[in-house]
Amino acid sequence: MKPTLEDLHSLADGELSPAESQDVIRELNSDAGLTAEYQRVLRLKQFVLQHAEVLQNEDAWRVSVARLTEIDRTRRVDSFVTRNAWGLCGVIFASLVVGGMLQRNSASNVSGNEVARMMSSFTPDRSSIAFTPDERKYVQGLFNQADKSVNSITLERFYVGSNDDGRRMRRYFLRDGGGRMVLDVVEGVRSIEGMTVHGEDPRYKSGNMGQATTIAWVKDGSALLLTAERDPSSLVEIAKRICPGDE
Amino acid sequence: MLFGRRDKRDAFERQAERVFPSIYGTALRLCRSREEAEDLVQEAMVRAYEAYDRFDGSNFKAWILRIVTNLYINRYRQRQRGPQLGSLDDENASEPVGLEGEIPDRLLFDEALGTEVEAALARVPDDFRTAVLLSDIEGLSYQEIADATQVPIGTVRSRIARGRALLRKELETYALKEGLIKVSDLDPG
Repeated sequence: MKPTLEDLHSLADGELSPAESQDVIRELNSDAGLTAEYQRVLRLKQFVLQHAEVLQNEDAWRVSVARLTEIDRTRRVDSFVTRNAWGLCGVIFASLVVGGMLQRNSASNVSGNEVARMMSSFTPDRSSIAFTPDERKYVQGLFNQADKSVNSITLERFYVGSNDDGRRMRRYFLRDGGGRMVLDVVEGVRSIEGMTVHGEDPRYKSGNMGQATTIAWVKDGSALLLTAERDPSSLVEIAKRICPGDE
Repeated sequence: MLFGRRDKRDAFERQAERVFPSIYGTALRLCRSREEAEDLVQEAMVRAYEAYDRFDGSNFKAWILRIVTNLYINRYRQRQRGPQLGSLDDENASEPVGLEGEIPDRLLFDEALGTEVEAALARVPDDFRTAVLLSDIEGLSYQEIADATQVPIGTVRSRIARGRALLRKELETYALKEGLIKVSDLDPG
């Protein structure tokens, strides 16, 4: 059977099986026209290969490599996030928990709402009998400053302990001519926010707890909370006598 | 893991750099526009790099040219698709060999330059040009061309045969125009 044009091209391209090649070559050998056509196919192939330009484009190569680098960078980030997704979630969660605890335990700003909770959760860990020398010195220093010439204040008893935030607290039961008062000293507080400023002095803030009034102020990194069934002004006066250095 | 990725990148870059003239050349011959060819090359490089894990290690050039050609067919040619002027039916390729013009090849080829060959190739319709350039310039096998162009191997055979016939006609036209051959040379008798 006479080979087709495709057969000649396939032979020139080496795409025929050995048996097919033999058949086509046998036909070629017996037909000069076919042989000439086959030779033309071979020459055209060679001609195209020889004359096709080698097309270089350095810029295209550089841009392509830059894109690969960009892909690698993106993959690195994706891979890190994917591989450590649970870890990252854990770290974020732990940060929130620890941050919350730190905020709760060592925040130096206390809101007015926390004052009542701090006072009510006070748990004494020992009585005044067990005061350390440092604590006794602190108390003596505090009341030695007080102006006792007017309506002197007496210390009935006091306790050292902590509240449920873990803050150290001291609770003093005081008495003067007007009756009994409670003074709580909460350590680690630099400001009290949210309570009403009493009078013209912004250092003293007041609030009510049932029948009682509480005056709060800050001194030397501690919150002092003076509570009694009295009006705020008289408590502020007492506060000024307890801590005259603040005036 | 980091080193594995680095090694992979290095291996890919080494192989791609070696065949980059073929990648760019094929893209340019397919698109016939430098700008589109550069876009095609970049996209093909990205696709190839992302698929490099699936490369079987046999023939990198054929593999990446398949990506280039597939991308061209799927994306670029869609918007250029129109009537294929001057194209020939694949079926006609199976007709018996005819003696088309006994032009001596020395007349046809000796004076031609690379740019003229490129210009003649560019005038061959898309499907035939793709088959011829992948076969004759890039040296891909029929099976590799069939994979690249997503057609049966029989279609590749006929496209190559007809593509070369068309290319030869383009070269003849050029040679006639330039006076390299005479009309009388075209007379088979």
